[in-house]
Amino acid sequence: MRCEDARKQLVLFHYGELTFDGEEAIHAHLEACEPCRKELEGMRAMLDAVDAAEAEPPAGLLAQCRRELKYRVRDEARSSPARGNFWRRLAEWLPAPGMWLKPAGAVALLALGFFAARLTQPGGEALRMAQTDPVAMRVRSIEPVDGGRVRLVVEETRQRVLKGRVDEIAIQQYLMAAAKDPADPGLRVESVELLNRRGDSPDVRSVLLAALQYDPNPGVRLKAIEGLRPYAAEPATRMALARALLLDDNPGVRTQAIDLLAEKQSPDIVGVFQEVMKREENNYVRLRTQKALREMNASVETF
Amino acid sequence: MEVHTVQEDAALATNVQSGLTMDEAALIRAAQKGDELAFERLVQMYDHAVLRLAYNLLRSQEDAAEVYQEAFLRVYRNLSHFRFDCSFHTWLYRIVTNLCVDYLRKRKSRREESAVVATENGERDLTQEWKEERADGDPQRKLMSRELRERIESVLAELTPRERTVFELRHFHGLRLRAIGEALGASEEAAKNCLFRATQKMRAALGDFV
Repeated sequence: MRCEDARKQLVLFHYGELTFDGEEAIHAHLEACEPCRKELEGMRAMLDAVDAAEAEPPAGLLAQCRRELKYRVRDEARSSPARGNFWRRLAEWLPAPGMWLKPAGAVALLALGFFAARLTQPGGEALRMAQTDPVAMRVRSIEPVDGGRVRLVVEETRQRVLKGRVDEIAIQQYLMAAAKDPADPGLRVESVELLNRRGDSPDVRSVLLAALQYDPNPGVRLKAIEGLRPYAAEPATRMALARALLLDDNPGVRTQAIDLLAEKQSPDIVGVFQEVMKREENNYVRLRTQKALREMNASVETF
Repeated sequence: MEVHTVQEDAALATNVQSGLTMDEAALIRAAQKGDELAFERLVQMYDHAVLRLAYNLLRSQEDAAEVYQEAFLRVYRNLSHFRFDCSFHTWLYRIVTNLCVDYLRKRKSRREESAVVATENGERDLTQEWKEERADGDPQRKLMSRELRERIESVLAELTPRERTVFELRHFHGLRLRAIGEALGASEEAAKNCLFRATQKMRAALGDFV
């Protein structure tokens, strides 16, 4: 076998995709050919390195997808044209799933980078901070320079201690980034709780709306509802509450959503409540929904 | 018309509800008759692999979640036409890989149009932002040499959608090339060629790093 032919087969050999005879021929060639052995070793080293580039989907994404699919399949199963129109309208309101998770890393990094840069400038208003020693350090390269000295390129991660009031924009930006930190639900709960005091800011409110709809942790979603209470009459809040009522898998969140939606007795929500009566499996949530419909003098069923 | 005895249906329901491993064909038949629990079990047999495939191919949580929804909704809509003339696994992977290849093609053409967009605050390089987003969150990735990781991600992104998909399915999902060919509606020989080209390109781009 010529080296050129053997090399075309190496990848198939590596993956066990050759026939018995084909493998035997490659074995025989490799025993006699050092350059091809080295080529195989190099290819295997490259494929091993590529292994480390594989990423697992973030925790919570599968559960979120399953929850969404469950309801979408149920909607598909229903064929009433009137209901179809209602669901199409609702789907048009609702942002695509995953929109909350996607910016979590990038936006947090960008926001933190931007504000960290601002904060290092002199005269940083009331915000006070202290820089600590690096908590993580890695030497990237070492290079000898003149006179026996060396030049090091070092990557460092530092912690900063920041103090300020929640109504300071810079603090709010950090809290909004922390409210999207996918790794730490406790931090998200605390951030959302603090941000709840500043729901009058449109940026903060959009973080609360996103937390309500997409945060995988029910504690964070419940906190977000608290912060949205003063804005329960606003269309964006009502859409998010309707979405939570129909899609959230936590009965506590769904109950809170009913209460807030029912505060403003508006006909636009009757269809959502009637839909809840059809699909809701939790007796308590059904009773609350039924009560809300009766208070609005609406039928508890559709025909 | 298929006729099932009461006992058969009861046994089926018991198995589905108790979460015992059921024969895949029985699950499919139950789902074809409208059994939502059977469909859910069927989805859960494969959905982690589907999400992992979409996430690794598209490297975007949002796109991976959309492919997940679209793939399983297509399965749901068309399950009644599934006649067992290929394996369910192959049929599902055909749907998922086609969706992913479409996403990759759209993204490639968008990227070729322009990755740098003008904003009020100057120009933004979207590919750089994508890299930043991906670098966050996965501790294993942080351990890799940044340079090597960037090179790997860049070479994977430069493969054609077919090469990328064949490589992903063979290398990370362990599918045989024959099955990959079936999933992509191509011959085994074409899948072999794609895999060969993909590894050649990667070897050429990464040779100095490994």
